[in-house]
Amino acid sequence: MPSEKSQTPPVGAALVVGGGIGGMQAALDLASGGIKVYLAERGPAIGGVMAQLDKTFPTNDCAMCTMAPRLVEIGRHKDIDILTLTEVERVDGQAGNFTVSIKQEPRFVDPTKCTGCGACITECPVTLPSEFDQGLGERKAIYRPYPQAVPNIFTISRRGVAPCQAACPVHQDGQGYVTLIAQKRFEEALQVILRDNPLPSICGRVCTHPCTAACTRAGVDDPVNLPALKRFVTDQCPDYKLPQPSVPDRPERIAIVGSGPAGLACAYQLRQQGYRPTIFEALSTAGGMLAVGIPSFRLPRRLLNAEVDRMRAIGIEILLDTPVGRSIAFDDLRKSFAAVFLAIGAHVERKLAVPGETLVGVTGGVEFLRRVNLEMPVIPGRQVLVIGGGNSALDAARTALRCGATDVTIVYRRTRAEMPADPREIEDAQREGIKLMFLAAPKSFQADANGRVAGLECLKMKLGKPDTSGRPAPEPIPGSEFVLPCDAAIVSIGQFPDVGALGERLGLDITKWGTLTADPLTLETGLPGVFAGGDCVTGPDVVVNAKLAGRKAARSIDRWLNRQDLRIGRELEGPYRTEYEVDTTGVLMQRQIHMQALDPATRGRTFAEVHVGYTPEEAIAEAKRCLACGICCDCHLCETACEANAIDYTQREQKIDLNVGAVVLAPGYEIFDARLKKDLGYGRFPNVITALEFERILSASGPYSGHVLRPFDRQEPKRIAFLQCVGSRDSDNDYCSSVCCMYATKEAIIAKEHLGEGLQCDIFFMDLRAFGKGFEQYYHRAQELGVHYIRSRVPKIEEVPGTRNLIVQYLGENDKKLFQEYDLVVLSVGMQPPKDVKVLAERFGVALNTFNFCGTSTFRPAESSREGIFVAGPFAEPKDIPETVMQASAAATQVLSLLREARGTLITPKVYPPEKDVKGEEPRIGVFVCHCGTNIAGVVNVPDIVEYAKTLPNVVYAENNLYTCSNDTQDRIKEQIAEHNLNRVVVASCTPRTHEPLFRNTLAEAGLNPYLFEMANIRDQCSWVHMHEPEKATQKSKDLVRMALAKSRLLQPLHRQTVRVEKSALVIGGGLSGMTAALALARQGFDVYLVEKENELGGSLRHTYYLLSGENPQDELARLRDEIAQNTRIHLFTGAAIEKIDGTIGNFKTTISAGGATTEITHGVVIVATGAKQYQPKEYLYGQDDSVITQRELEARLASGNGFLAREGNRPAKTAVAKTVVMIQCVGSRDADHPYCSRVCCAEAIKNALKIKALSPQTHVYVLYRDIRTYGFKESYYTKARQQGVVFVRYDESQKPEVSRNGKGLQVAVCDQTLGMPITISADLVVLSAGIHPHEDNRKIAQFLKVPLNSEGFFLEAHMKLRPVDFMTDGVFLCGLAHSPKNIEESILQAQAASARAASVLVQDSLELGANISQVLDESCDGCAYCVDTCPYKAITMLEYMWQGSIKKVVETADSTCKGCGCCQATCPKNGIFIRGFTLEQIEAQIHAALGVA
Amino acid sequence: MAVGILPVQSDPTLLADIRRYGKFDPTGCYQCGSCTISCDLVSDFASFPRTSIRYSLLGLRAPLLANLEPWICHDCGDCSTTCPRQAEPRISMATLRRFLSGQYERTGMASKLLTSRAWYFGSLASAAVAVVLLILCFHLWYVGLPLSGLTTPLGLEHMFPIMTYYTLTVMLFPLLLLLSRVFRIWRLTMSRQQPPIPFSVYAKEAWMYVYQSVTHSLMRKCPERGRWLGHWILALGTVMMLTIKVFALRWFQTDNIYPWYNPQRWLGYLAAAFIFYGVVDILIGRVQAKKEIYKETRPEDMVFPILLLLTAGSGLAVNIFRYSGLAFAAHCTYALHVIIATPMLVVEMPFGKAAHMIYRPLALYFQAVKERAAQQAPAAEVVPHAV
Repeated sequence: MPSEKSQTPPVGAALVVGGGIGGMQAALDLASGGIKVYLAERGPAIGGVMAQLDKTFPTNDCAMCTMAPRLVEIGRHKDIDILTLTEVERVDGQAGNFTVSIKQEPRFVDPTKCTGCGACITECPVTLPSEFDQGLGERKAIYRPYPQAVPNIFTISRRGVAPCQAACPVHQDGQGYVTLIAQKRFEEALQVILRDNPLPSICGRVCTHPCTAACTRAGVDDPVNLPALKRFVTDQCPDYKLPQPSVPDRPERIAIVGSGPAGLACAYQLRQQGYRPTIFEALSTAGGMLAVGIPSFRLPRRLLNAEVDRMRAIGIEILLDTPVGRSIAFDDLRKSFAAVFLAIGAHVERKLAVPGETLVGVTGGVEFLRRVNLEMPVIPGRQVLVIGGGNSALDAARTALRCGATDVTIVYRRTRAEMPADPREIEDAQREGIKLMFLAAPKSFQADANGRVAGLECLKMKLGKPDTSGRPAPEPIPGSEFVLPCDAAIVSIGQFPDVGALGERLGLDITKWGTLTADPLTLETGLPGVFAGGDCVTGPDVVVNAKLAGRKAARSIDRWLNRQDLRIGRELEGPYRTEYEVDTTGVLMQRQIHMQALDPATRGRTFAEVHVGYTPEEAIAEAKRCLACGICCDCHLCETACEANAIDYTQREQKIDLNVGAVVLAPGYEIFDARLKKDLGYGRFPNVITALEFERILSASGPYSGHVLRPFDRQEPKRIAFLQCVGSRDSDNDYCSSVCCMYATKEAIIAKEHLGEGLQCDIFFMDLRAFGKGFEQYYHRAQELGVHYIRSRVPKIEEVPGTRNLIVQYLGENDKKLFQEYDLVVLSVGMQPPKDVKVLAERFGVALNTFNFCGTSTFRPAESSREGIFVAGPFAEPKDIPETVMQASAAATQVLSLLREARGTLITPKVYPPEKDVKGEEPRIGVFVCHCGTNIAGVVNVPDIVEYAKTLPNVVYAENNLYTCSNDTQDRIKEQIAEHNLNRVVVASCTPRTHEPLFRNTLAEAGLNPYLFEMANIRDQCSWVHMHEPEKATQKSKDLVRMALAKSRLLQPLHRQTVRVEKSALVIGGGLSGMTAALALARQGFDVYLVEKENELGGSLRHTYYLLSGENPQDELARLRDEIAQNTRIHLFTGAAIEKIDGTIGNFKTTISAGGATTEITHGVVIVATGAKQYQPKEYLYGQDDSVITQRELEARLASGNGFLAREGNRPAKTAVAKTVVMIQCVGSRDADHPYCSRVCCAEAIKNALKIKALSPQTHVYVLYRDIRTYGFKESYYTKARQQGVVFVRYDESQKPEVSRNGKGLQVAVCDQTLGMPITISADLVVLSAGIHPHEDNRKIAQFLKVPLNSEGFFLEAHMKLRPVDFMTDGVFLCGLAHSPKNIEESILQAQAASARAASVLVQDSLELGANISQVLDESCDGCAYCVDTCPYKAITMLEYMWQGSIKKVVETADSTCKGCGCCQATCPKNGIFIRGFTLEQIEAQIHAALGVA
Repeated sequence: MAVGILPVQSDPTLLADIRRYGKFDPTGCYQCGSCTISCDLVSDFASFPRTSIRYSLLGLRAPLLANLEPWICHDCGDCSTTCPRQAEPRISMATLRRFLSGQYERTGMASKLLTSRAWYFGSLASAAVAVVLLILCFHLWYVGLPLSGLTTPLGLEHMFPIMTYYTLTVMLFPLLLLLSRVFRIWRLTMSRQQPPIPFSVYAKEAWMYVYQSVTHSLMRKCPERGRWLGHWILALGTVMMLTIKVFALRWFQTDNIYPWYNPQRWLGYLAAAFIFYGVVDILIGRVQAKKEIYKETRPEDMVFPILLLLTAGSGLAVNIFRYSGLAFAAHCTYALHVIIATPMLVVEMPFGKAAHMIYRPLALYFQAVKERAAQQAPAAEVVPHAV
């Protein structure tokens, strides 16, 4: 209802939350009603649960086939914005004007570029369980939930950067290369490594690997052995090359001083950006510390040399023996080069500053290593002391061993815990026999007689308080001196850079530690264009930090040269921690695989590399340990695969505010988590699955391609058990999920269809709730097909070890406890409120009911507690698809009335240029052939097709397009139309079902009639089905193109006819549904003619006095009557009959007779709301005994407040109450004559039973039933009735109760089916639940409107699931009991839904009809009328008229009714009727072209 | 209508009758049968608790009275944990056992005691007061002590002669009362069997009564083994104690002190220890009320074990005082022992909880007879629920 409070006009837009079938329906109804729609969906595509379903009951239609056209319609609707990956955060404002804050997760794929071709999927190395297949199948990290998904755009599942990658200073993509290694894609793994790291073989060996410290797996067992894996890849591909720059070379030259890791990294990054750097190296070998500081048993020299050579190979110049400052002056350097990066390292050794340090035999560690590495002579020692605790000290010690020392001891002043060296290196050293001495500080070196070092005097230390480095400071213990004998000593306690040659002279700042000063973020020095980094700035550090410096310098230099800001956006350079948590529960323990190493006993004598590396098997096994923290591994392979360049890793979460007038909530439901029912074994037993999983197994698009197999061994099951009410109808969920009985029935039927009659399907249930239209018949059909129904709830399942079959225990006939073995058990899991429903409710400000669903009320069934926010689907109550669709339309109609003043304000009509006249022109055809990435071109030779097309007549232009459907190609097609003056267009690509409207639109935009277009489907029909026969596929593609061309030559411009719409509606029937529909339309501003055959409004509602939920229906009836009386738009006819209805959608003419007068009205639409009647029982002494009454009569008595026992003696007593009341269900329902369930009687009986108990608690109430069908929340009233002592006795149809009267009064005999025991009940009152039967005059109305009835006599809607209020005949709609039995709430919903559908016609001033419709050629038609009966839409009528003195017979087509199916054309013997756009000549031309006749 | 079976009249007042005996609230029940499936004691011939509960809800009085199944139920509570409606069938079955106990007794006394807390505690108290009066009278008139002489310590020997008769009376009389109901139970449960069960079947299955009494073997099929052991030890202790007191009272109640290895010395202690073990096990369970079977404990359920415990405890105290030479204390404790034990024997045994000692084995015996009869006559169609 429109808000009285808001002064400003409402906003003409609405937000629909939830992209399931409910949200889709609401969006379509709103958009066609002139409201701009935002359709917000949590997931990456719309479709909801229905998209996952295989078939739908009771028609066994394919769910996807029925909904796919609707998906396409929404995807292409100009007034619907689909917002995927979207959550609503808050809703402010009031009805008519809300501000909705939404959050949109990044997709990492540009939706404007992605064409959905799917080339990315094959490249993506990350495999995940597919949510769409309920985890039974797999998908890739880049995915689209299902092939028909709308929007047809891929999404990357990306949690963020993996912790290993974040922790790496250069952000080496650990997860990326590990994932690829696990898939044996070693080459690609190497490419991923090279993206950030030009020196992988070096890094795999000597990097300290901060990545492993961050590895999530470390929290489970051990980190993934990233270094070993990286090294493995380089070992596997020893001859790899570095990538050539992908950008053109740039003129600027850059000087890099120092060829260590910092210099090399900087050179590599600059080279990748097109610069040509020159490296100046003072030494005779390149690599800096890598070459001279690291011994070759850790880093073989040939590897380093190879890396350097690779650098040279991509155009990096390295000048050896060229010390800057000596060979070339620094100033010259600055003059000749655009920028300079100083990375001179730290090669000057720190001294101990103790006496004797200059003795012969005492050397510095770096000096020692350099001499060994450069193969210069070293002074050998036997007994060697190494002073220091860093990696260099260890390297020196191990090198000394390899140079011939027999006794090597490392002296360190703290303890092992404080040693800065890599623990693995320490271990390796110890294994080789190197000794460690802790807490000893050198005091002086002692000399022997020759002046050679002979010993080291040390002081013992103890650990004190932490110092600035955070480590405990060593403190000397006075007087603890001792002497260690030695014949050589190596001092390795650190280095500093040799800046003397550069710094002071050039005016660079030098720190007190002797290092250069540079900005930590940008590496700028005091001199413009001079940058510095690496060890010369930081002091000695690990290799990877040097590489970080190189990268930073490269980035700064690039920015500096391009005159960009050096600082912005560089926060994430260098290591950081990821913020997300990875759940490691359930990860199985599996320890790290260590690399094999040489025997420690012998390896200490040679310089051979200590570790030998992984075998491929070891590497793959180790790589598979990765937990894929980031989900997407960041390998960027999809980026390479995507020819449309749609991948965009830079997307970030977006927050948007929407201004809307109303909100429709249709967030759907969650399925019950069957793990909570521990005894059923779901999650523990592989062959216990949920119904939705089984739905996927049944589906041809499912994980097993439609083969019905069980998950454990992929064998066909021979016995399947279905267990009902899992998560429904128990103390925790005191409601019925409404759909499970039927979906289990459907799945059993379909499974039998798949696996044959031999398949045993047993459904274990309590009450079979087949309450919907056609459901009871479906249930009977299942039984006929051999589906067994066993009335027993199964509390527990056991598994047979070995076969993994399942034992189900249940109660059989006569209460016998039985066991049955099954191959597969399917749990019919119930519906739960959506996840985080409380948060959801809070964000929208709507109230939840006791079951945590969104509360609605009987008379406001689509409204939430907040004005302007409406609700649809299972979010309000568990329900089936048609009820969801109806509620969605009902919500839409509410929005349409609320926003009626703003209708059309926010939607934009499309304007096309004037159409070019092509009459009489020779066909000039343009052919566009689509590669569809590799989707078509991977099989079909597309260029060949183009060349072939050019050879065909009338083709003036042909080209191939990467993606013909992309936006830029549309522009291109328009350009070519103009340039070549094309007057026909043929596209050879995919299916017209999804893409024809797009191309037709392009033609219209180019000023060409859109029907001068033809399409050849070379994807589905060629590249897909002939995937393995490319040549034949190409040949067939040519055939199809030739056929399309043949037809296109004969195409004529077609124009859609329009009919004016009479903006008024006829509503037949003035019951609750009719009144509701009439009011809903009148509130939207349309005139309504409301016709009621009785003298007063109200229909069946007049007999309803109270409701289970407590509201008073009579008050509501009075309110409706008042509103109708006051609404000037409603023209009421009571005591009226319809005499005649003529016309079609938009223009109906109806004659109404009322009170002796007849009125003729014109209207645009019709709503059928004729209601139904109550069965007048003939059984159970009804009519013979005053004490046998119907529920309706009982209700009247209960409402009158005068007691409810009719007799006292033989006279009715006004206040007497019955002591015992027996109610009998299914009277006139579910029997041979009325094979359907009347749906409402169970709840009505319970309502009256509860009323009796409320009025007279001592009265005993028995309800004799067959199945209690209290679906949805009504179940809780069934519970309440039992709790209040109402006794429910189940009888069988074959043993109906018997009612008799004897001396003691009425006696009801019934056989209780639980006990199998006959009992008699003495009753004062017997109440019959009489069924709902259709009106006889439905037949008359059906004939007037040319709409069908079903076999029971109720009106038959257009589609049971998706079009529950439409008829196949356009412009006629249906609601209320005329459709099928239903309760008040459902009648209101359906009436409102019908009004929404009707409004979508009435809002239009004129209707555009289809262009491809039939046309009669009067001169050829001889009136044989074959076509009249054939027409499924009853669009063709016979005309007889006098012409030239004789009776002439011809047929006539109603343009607005014809759907262009072509049946008439096929039946006509005289070519007297044809379909525009599919004429016989056109089809013939195609056939001739196909056969090569033409 | 099923052929050949006469319909049973539904009596809507039955439910109210049952509810007088305790909590009977299976109204959430929708007859799903989970309870029966979950029960390990259910067989083709005994399907419960659903059937028994259904009889009650439908008001089928005669079938309910004929129903032996509440006695086959050993109260483990699996049905209650399984029940999806939390209708607590275990508690209903316990109430049905009390209801049936009430119906088995003709005078209405049991019914009064089982349905009225006032009656129950009143009877216990009255019995105790009566014993106090008896003791007073005995001392004042029979022994002839002056009122002031009641504090004079006497040996126990002076009471023994009369205690022999007293003990036999308070122990055997309740037992006889219980046994006198066997016929009525037979009539309610067995007499209407069609075809009538020949005597030979009863004779063949007679060992079942003894076997069930001695072993409680059915309880071992219950999921929790420890419960069987505790209950069996308690029953063993109680039977040992009763046997000693009925058949060897003179041997035990003496001021003669036997050497420690004589069974006179340790047999009683052993029985007492058994009782302690069993009772404490039960009481801890009931107080903690963690296990399903101990939920919904009523005060009445506690009384019998407590009385048993106090009886055994006071008996033990008498012995301790006697051996320590505290004659007066021994005397007074002995009086207390008699004051506690008597109400337990005369109220609990014939009318209260302890009656299941007799009823349950009897029901199991009858059930065995029914099953054998059914197996012997396979030709005749056996309708499980016909009565």
